[in-house]
Order: sequence, then C-alpha cells, then structure tokens
Amino acid sequence: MTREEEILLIKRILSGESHLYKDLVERHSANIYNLVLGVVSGREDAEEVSQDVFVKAFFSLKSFRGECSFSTWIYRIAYNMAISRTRKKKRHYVTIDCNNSNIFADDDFVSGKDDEREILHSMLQRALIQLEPKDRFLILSFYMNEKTIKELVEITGMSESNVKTRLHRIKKQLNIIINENREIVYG
Amino acid sequence: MDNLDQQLSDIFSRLKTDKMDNNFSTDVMTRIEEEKNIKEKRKEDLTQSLFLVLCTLAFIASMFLLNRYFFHIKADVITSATKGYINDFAIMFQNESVSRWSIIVVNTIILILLEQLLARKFSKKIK
Repeated sequence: MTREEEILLIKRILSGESHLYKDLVERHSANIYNLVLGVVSGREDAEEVSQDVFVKAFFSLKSFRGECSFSTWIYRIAYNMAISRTRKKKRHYVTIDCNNSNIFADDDFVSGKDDEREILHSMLQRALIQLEPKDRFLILSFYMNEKTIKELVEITGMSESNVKTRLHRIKKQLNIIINENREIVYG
Repeated sequence: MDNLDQQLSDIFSRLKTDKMDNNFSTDVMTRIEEEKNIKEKRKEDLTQSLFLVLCTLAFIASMFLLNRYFFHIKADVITSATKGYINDFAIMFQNESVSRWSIIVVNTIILILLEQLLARKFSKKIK
C-alpha cells in the first residue's frame, strides 16, 4: 500500500467508514505486537498494550497529517505506550530473573535446523532481557521490523546521533553477552 | 552490514510473529465501538448538564424579574431575608452539643468517602 493509498484510506475512515480501520489493524498488528512483546515481556501484556495502541490510534487519527507513514506514526504511539507500561509495572531489567523470563514464548520460535542456532536464540533472549526497554525497542525495530535510523529518530524523538550511538552500544553489548554465553555453553 | 548485523537480523526475523489471529482485529474493533459509546454517553451527559444549568439560570432570572417587575419586591428585601436565614442557621450551631455532633457527622462522611476512594484505587491497581 502506497502512502497516498494509506492517506486515502484514513480519510475514508475519518469520514465515517470506521469499519475500514480493520484493514489497517490487520496490516500492522503483527509488527506492533512483536515490538511491544519485546518491550513489555509477557504475551498477555503485549496483546493488551497492542490493542490499546490501535484504539488510541483510532481516536487520534485526526491528528495524523501524513507527514510520515502511518506505520511510523503508530510505532511512535506503540513506543510511548510500551515504555509507559514498563514504567507502571516497574519491570526494569534489573528485577527480571533472567533464567525464568522469556521475551518471546517458546512457540514463537521456528525451530532451527542446527543446535548452535537454537543456543543462539536462547542466548539472545537472555541478552535482550538485560537491556533497558528503550534499547530493546530500538534493537527490535531496527533488526526485526527493519526500520531505518531516520524512522527511529521520528518514532522515538531521539537525535540521530543518539540513536546511532545507542544501537552501536547495544550491538556491542549483545555481542559481548552472546560471546560470554557461548563460552558457558561450549565450556 | 557486518557479520554481527547479519546474524542479528537473521535471528530476529526468525523470532517474529508474522500474523496475528483474526480475533485481534475483531477485539480492537469491538473496543473501539465500546469507547465510542462511552464517549457519546459522556457527551450526552455533558449536554444534559449544561442544559440543566442553563434552565436553572433562566428560572432564577425569570423569578428575579417577576419579583422585581410584577410583584415589585426590591432586591434588598430578598438579601435581608437570605441574611435572616443564614443567621438562624448560625444560631443553631452556637449550641455546643449541636456543633459537636455536626463535627462528628462531617468527620464520618469524610472517612466514608476516603474509604470508598481508596478502595476504588486499590481495586483498579489489582486489576
């Protein structure tokens, strides 16, 4: 769907055809859910927050001016809501028991063909849990949902250099954690 | 993109859920309808309250005008009558036992209201 088609669809929704909003929900729900799940860590919470995001987006649709894509706009809402949920629930990375917490539930995995990949998956989960929610959002948007640096700047409101620095730091952090765990796994 | 980037992209892309079940969008639409109804009800309540306030003001104004131009009652007569009522009320509270019981009643009401308020807040937090 092009930007023009998206704007046209939104105009139709605003003019009273609210049932068309379901198309937008279906189009973006998986991406929003994946992101929120990475930040709030818990499937029920993630689904609830994702629903809240779409409900809030619907009632704020009038403020969408089409300066950015709908996806970027709704990511911004998701970012704010997911971060505020983690603040409310005080699920800071320090309080999470790394051995018992899964950011992604086991059935979210497509089972890997080789053992190393499976080990990497669990290592990555542990590494993600140790990150701050904001950093988890950045890394997941960048790698999982293939958002560009420019889009991340628009979504988070951080400066470009801040986003780049954070991503670089997270990558280094993840690399260290992965390598440390690799040594533990292989002895 | 370096090797680590490639590795991370590969792993993350395998972690993601590609499609949500149909219930998700249906649930969202149901919640939107519910919110719409709540907002409409709130708007209706507000309109009714405003209408009630306007009617009350119109009623007071009409009574005032009726008193002044039809019954020829001056405004200072009304004020002195109001003052009289207030004085009667104040005299009642000069009695020690009345004022003591009034304080007890007011405190009890405040405590009940506080208890209700806290109970609501806690039940919301538990939810």
